[in-house]
Parts: sequence; structure tokens; C-alpha cells
Amino acid sequence: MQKGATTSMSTTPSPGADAGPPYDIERGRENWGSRLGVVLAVAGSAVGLGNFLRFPGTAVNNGGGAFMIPYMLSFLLLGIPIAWCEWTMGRLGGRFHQNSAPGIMYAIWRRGSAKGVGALALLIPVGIYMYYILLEAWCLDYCIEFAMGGFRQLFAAATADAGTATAVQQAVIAAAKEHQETTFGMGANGALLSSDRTIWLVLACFFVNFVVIYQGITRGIEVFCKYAMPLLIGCALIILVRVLTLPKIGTGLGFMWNPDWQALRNPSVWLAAAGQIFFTLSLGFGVILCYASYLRRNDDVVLTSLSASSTNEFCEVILGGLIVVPTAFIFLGAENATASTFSLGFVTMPAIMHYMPLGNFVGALWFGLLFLAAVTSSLSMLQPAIAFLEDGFGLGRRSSVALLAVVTALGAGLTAYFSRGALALDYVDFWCNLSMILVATVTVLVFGWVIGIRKGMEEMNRGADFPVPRFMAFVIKYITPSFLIIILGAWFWTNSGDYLRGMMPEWRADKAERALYVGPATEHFLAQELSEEAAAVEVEKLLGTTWSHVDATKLPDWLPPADPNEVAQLRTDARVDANVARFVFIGLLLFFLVLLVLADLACRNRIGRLIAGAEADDGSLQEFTP
Amino acid sequence: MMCALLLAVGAEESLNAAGWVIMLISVTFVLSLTFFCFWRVLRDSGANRASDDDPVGRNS
Repeated sequence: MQKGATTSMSTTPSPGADAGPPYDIERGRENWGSRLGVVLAVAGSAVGLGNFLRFPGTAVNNGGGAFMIPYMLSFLLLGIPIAWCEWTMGRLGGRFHQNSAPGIMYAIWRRGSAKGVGALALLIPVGIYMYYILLEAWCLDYCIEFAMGGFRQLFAAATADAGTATAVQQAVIAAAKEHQETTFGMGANGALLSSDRTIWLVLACFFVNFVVIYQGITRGIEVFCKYAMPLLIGCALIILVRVLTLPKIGTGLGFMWNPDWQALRNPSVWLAAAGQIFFTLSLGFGVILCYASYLRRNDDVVLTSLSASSTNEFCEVILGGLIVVPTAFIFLGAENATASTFSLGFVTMPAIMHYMPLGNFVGALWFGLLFLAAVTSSLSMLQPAIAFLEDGFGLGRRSSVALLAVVTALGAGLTAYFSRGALALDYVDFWCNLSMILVATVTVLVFGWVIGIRKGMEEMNRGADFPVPRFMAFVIKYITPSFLIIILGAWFWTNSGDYLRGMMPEWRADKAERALYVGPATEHFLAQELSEEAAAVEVEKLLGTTWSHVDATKLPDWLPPADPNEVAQLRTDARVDANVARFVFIGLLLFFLVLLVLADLACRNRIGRLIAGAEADDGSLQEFTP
Repeated sequence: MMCALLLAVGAEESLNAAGWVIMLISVTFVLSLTFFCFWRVLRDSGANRASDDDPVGRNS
């Protein structure tokens, strides 16, 4: 097989050609140039900020070392089987001349629901891209800031008047937090768009992404990932050596890895582990389906999939698990080492560099590697939509790239505009994550029950370097779907309440007003020598739960009512936030409906003809036709 | 300053035996899997690839 070249599928007219425009792809079909290339491209898609920031934060908050037990079980029972299913279905879709989720799902499943799931799998990467491009620009911004010595000046100015070590630490954290809020435009809607530098960096990242994606699979994504991934891992290894040679690193590692066995009794820990595996491997994302469709019919999927997953785990467990939390703990203590993903990445990590020897160099290296991880991921988010425009409507590369650039620029612009509290970003993330679990569940069910587990496993083992163990058939048919349905239900149950209530203006206004009283009330109860937990219970008795309305006229004497003007302003802002949350939901819903209509149109026309042509060319595909 | 901060957390618990075991098992498992996969990928790269002319595939 010729390497590094695009190969052409059939150019012979088929019966399907009579029904309309030629069914065959005149431009020829792209294939991956090498197996290492596809492994690094898929690993690049999966390795992102979640590996270096989300994983350590989740692990340390869910039992430390004990978290690795549900995590590894989820990897074996959830991660690897779903990845194998997606790779197999993607490669099978490629045989039907399909590279996008709607086409692949329709070729295999021939139902209206297939178009819906395909449209959802198309929405997810494009939706996530609309905020991921901002994260990418922020990583680049921080990298440049460290390289130019900007953080050194910032921290020097902030700590000029601080006397004690504790005061210095507080000043550094406060300065890092303020810098993050300014860079992210979290203070007010529109702040990000009026920033001096960040918006230009967003445009630069946008430009780089689309230039690479325009080059195509082999010359664009594959070449970029072949250089970016080793560079990323190299940077991380340099930082890892620096971290592991810090004095007292044992305490940091102890904080991260010492197991709290009691945590295993908590179901939420198991859910967190399954969720982490699910999101880190980019399952249900539509990207694996798309990337795998560029494989040749007898290319291995078993080892290739496992290689991409293991590369992701290498970055997550070894690089992510040994760098961030241990370092954060030894320099800044437990409170800052257990912060949220965003705070850990963009407040704690910059603050750490203030203390670390060669901090500017390590800081630039750290944010440089995060930037590379973000670029390799964002590239993968664009390809499914481009493949859909090409396959579904016969658009050329240039037209499909241009059209997608306009759509994503519009979406990213709106996400950037509604930057207050990173609310729009948070809501897009929530709805996309929920959709991912749904798509993965349907994908595994289609594999096990529509294709059929016997045929599915045969197709999976076609050209495989080693056969998939037989018990995996049972796992894929019964255990993984059950596991996914439980995750879907539990995840929706635990997360949806706050997000749905957050779309109600009055609920959100009540929550904002209540937050004004929480601080003084907690201080009051702590002063009575109650523990933090007991104080929290007393606060809830006094003020109600998080979303309760506080009646200022019924507050005790020791808790004076807040300034009415301040309350009015807070409630107004909260109502705006709720409307932004609604806007995001309605926007995504409309976008989904548009994609659904487009998927339906494409499946009835060009995609349908391409599938018919593929079946006419390759009789063996008939066995996969429902 | 760095030493002062490091001493301040010196009283915290260091990596204990269970932590060591879990960390080593996790790291070894992931490293072994990654090296095994890449060894096979690089060994087979190009030379041992199934051909489109072979409709059955090696393991079918």
C-alpha cells in the first residue's frame, strides 16, 4: 500500500449514478498516510486540558489514589470497548464512502433516528470548538506572558508590600486571579471582545486552525500532530523532571496519591471516574467516527485504537497525575491544590511559577504544552463538519472550510461576548457533555444490537494486529451500554438541576441575593466555635438551600439586610445571566435542528446515492444493510 | 522563600506505602500499555499492513 498518498475509490459509474449527480467522489478519497499518524492524530484529539488539569483535580477530590480503582475499571469496561466500537463503525462508514457521523450512522442504521444521532454527533465538536478556541488563545496568552516576563513583573508588583510568607502567597494568588478574570473577560459581558491582546490571539488561533484544516487529513492534521504530539510530551517530560526533583515532593505526591479508601463507598466517586474516562477519551464526540472513516478497509482498528487510548492515559495519569496537584500542594497548600479545573490551570499554576526556580521558563513551557494540546484537539473538532459538507453536499474543501469558518466565528464570537463569569462557555460545555454521553450510548447500542455483536466483532477483528478477547463481545453488548445508561441518568440527575434552574431569571436572582448573606452568616456561626460542616448546616437552616429566596425582613438582628441598591444590581445581573443561559440553550437547539434538516436532506440525496454506489461496488457491504 | 514554604508544609503526610503501591501500579500499567502499543505500531508500520487487495484481512 502506497504511503502518504491519497487513494482513489472507484470512479466507475454505477447504477446509482442514474438517479442524479454522480455518486462517486470525483475528488478522490483521503486516507491516513501512516498508522503512527492516525494514532497521534486521535491521541492529539483526546489529549487536551482535561488530561493535565481536570484529571488531577478530580482524582484528588475523589479519594486520591483510591480513585484509580474505579478509574482503571472504567477504562477497561467503558473506555476501551466504546473506542473499539467507534473505530470499527467509523472504518465501516468509510467503506460506505461516508466520513461524517450523519452519513456513517445512516449507512449502518437506515432509520430517521440515525440522522438525529448523526446531527447531534456533528453538533458536539462544532459546539465545543466555539469555546475551545478561547481556551486555546488563553493558553497562548499565558505562554507569551511568561516568555516575556510579564508574570514576574505582575507578581513583583503585587508582593512589594507583603511582609510575611503568607501575605506574599495571598498576594500572588490574588494577582493571578485578577489576571485570569481580566484575560477571560469574566467581569462583564463584552469585556473579552474589547481586550487589547486576547482577541487578536483568538483570531490568530482561528487562522492557524483553519490553515491546517484546509490542508486536509494527511497534509494538515496528520503532519501537524506528528510534530505537535512529541513536542507536547517532550515539554511535559521536562516539567515532570523539574517537579520530581523539587525538595519535599514526597508530601505533594502523598497528597495526590495516598488513598482514602472510604471514598470508594461513595457512588459519586465511581460516577466521577467513569465521567473522567468518558470525556478524556473523547468518546461520543463524533471525532473518532470521522477519523476512523479515513482508514482503509483492512487497516487495523484494535491496536490503533488501543494505542491512541494508551497515549491519552500516559498524558493523563503520568504527566497530569504527577505534575499539577503535587506541585500546587507543596507551594500553595491543600486549598489551592483542590481548586476547580479553571482555577487550577489559570490561577494556581501561574502562582506556582512565582516560587519555582526557572519559573518563567517552566511557565512558558507549561502553557506552551497546554496550547499544543488545545490545538491538536480543536483541529479534530473541525474535521467532522467539513467531512459532512463535502460528503453531504459535494462542496469542495475551500468552500466547506470557508462556510465552517463563518459558522464557528459567529458562535465563538457570541461565546466570547457573553464572557461574564464564563457562563456561556459553561452552558455550552454542559449541553455538549450531556449529548456526548447520549451519542456514545446510542453508538454502542447500534454496534451491539443493530449491526449485531457477531458481525460487529468480525468487522472489528478484520485486519487486526491481534484479535479482541472474546469476552469483550459480552462486555460490549451488555455491560458497556448498561454502564452508559447509568452514567447518563446519574450525570443528568446530579448536574441538570442547577443548570436548568440557572435558566430561570428569578431563581438565579434569588441565588445571587442569598450569596450576599452566606459569608457573614458563616462567619457568625464559626465564631460560635462550630465546625465548618455544622456552620454550613446552620446557614442552610437560616437562609434555605442554594436557590431559596431570602426574606430580608425576617433576618436575625445580627445579620443586617444588604444595601438595596447592591441587591437590585445583583438581581439585574443575575437575570441577564439567566437569559444568557437560555440563549445558549435555544441557540444550540436551533443549531441542532438546522443540522438535523441538513442531515435529512443529505441522506435523502447525495449521501444516499454515495451509499448505494458503495454497496454496488462492494457486495460484502450488503451484510451490514439492515 | 521557597524553602520557607516547603518547610511550612513539611508536617504534612508524605507518600505512604499504599500511595506508593497505587502510584507505581498505575504508572507501570499505563507505561507498559503505551510501550507495548507503540512497539507494535512502529514494528508493523508500513511493512505488515493489510492490503486492500486482501479482502479477508490477516485475522479473518
